[in-house]
Amino acid sequence: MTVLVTVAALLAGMLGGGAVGALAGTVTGTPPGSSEPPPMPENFPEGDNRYLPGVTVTLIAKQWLERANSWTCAAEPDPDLERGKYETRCEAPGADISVYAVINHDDDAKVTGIWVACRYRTGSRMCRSLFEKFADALLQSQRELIKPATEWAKKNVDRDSAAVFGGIRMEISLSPHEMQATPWV
Amino acid sequence: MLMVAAIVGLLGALVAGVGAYLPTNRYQATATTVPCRRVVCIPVLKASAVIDALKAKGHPCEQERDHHWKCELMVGTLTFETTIEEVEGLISDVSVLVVRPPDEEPTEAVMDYLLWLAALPYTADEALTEEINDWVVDRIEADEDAEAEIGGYNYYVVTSNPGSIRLRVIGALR
Repeated sequence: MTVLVTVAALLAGMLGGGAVGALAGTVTGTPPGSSEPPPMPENFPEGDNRYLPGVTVTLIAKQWLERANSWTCAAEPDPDLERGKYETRCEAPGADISVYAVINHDDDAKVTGIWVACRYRTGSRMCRSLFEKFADALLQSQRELIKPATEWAKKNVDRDSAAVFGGIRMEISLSPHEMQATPWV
Repeated sequence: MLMVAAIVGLLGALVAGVGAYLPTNRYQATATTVPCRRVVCIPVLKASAVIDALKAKGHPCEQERDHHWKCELMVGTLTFETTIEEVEGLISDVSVLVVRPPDEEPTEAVMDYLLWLAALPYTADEALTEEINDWVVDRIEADEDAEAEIGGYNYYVVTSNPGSIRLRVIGALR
């Protein structure tokens, strides 16, 4: 009888003690870590990177294309929403369909991308001048980069090529023949 | 007689208690993963806190379905996309896709993005954070597909598709 009670007490004690011990281990031995993620590093991409730095619709459409070159710009009724809330399409005077420009934007100072098409034959002075002026217009707020960028555009007008100037990636493609400007991080 | 039984019972409780406490405590204190339903999760770090941090940086995030989040930031020809699987408020799986022009080297922004996400499991462990940073940087510089188990997680890097980098972090089941 004595033995039986003692063994029963031992078993009950071990069971209870084991459960309490395991629970205590789980509670006090909290795994390491923070409930918040670490701060993001300096160059982590952010929402504002979506827009071309220093470029506005006014600058490209109004000042460069309409005022200086007599183009006509209008809001596209069916914009490519993947690229931006609005789309402004600009056409050259004299119903010249060989050249046109498309500006995708969320706001005047929030331009997500621009492309300028030039369907003249390769080697034409028209495309070289257009792409060179496009690079010039893009860098009005970073004037020290105008020279290298316009030289790059002139040199690469007739081949597939890309370069980054001041957070703007310029890309020329041959077929179809166009120059595109997009933000770059 | 009752006295003896009570003392033996208490001794039993003490031995079993210490015996159960030590391994449980040691497992918990060094664990880099915690069990969550049938998988394992990043300990302590809240899925919602990570989503909020991405949103605060201007990354548009959407809950695609229950416990499945996607944050996608498009910068011109670049896309930064992260998918997070949430289990019981924690994170069980992080999948990252960076789309970029194939002929460009990965920029600092691309690397900062990948490294911050890759190190999410180790918010309190500088040594493991450094180890995973080195591994990801080396794999991307080598431009080769790779997988490894580091700190209780399976890491996958896929760079073989031109124009994209994929990274996946998922707790290793034992």
